[in-house]
Amino acid sequence: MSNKFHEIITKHADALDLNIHYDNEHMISVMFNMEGGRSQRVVVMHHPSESGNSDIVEIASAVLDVSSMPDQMLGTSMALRLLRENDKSLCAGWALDKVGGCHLVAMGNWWLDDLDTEEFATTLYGVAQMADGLESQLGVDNF
Amino acid sequence: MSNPYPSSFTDKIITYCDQIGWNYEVTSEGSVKMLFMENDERSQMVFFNSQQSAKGTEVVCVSSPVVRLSTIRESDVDQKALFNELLEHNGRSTNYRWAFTPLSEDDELLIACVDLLLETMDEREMTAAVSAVSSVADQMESRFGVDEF
Repeated sequence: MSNKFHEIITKHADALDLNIHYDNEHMISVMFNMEGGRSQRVVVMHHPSESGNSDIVEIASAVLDVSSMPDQMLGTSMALRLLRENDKSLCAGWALDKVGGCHLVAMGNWWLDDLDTEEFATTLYGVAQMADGLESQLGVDNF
Repeated sequence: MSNPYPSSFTDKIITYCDQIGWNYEVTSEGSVKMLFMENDERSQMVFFNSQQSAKGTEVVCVSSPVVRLSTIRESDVDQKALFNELLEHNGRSTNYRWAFTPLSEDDELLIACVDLLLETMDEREMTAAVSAVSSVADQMESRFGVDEF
């Protein structure tokens, strides 16, 4: 199952001494043990480009299944709060991911070919902390 | 053009701007602004601001302003639908995110933004970031019928 995506992410994961799980050809996941016995799963997804030289790496961690909420939408004040937090969250941000449902996620993207270990680490740890922090505030540990 | 506020941040930004041929104004050791010309003759303000990550890494925040929150609130726009739509855009986008940033004590600004690490940022990444935020900000401005920035 080895490919360019796997090779690049494995190289950065090894540099950060991370244990990664190869979910499939285009997805790798990392499970972090957070404070207070909590855990947080971060998925690293590969979005190939037609040209092959502008592939995107999406690094994301889910917080909340929004599918069951009215109109699959967050409330006005919650959505505004998250957009405000997006001004302070560096190399990551809050988003609604409607692929395979509707989930509130912390996520960030980089170009695969240009991805450095520091860039990978900044977003990987950033989304894990954002997602776990909000889950903790909401009193859940779903992801 | 001489740099009135030399720093590792401003030096790198203006080196790339000079190479590309963009006009800019260095406003402090941690901020540069420029006017990006869109293809349709519209122009769009783009800001480069320096921020430090929790681990002390210097981050280049590239942003382009769209509309004041007060303007949104005074309009007949469904705020819940809009804010959720912006978060959905963030989920689909690969190169920018929407955010609200403080403008004054009682107002905020909707911005399109993207962050890059100063140390690893190259000219291609900076160019793509400027193009992405200015393009989507200009499109969103059109939707609100404003061209303030």
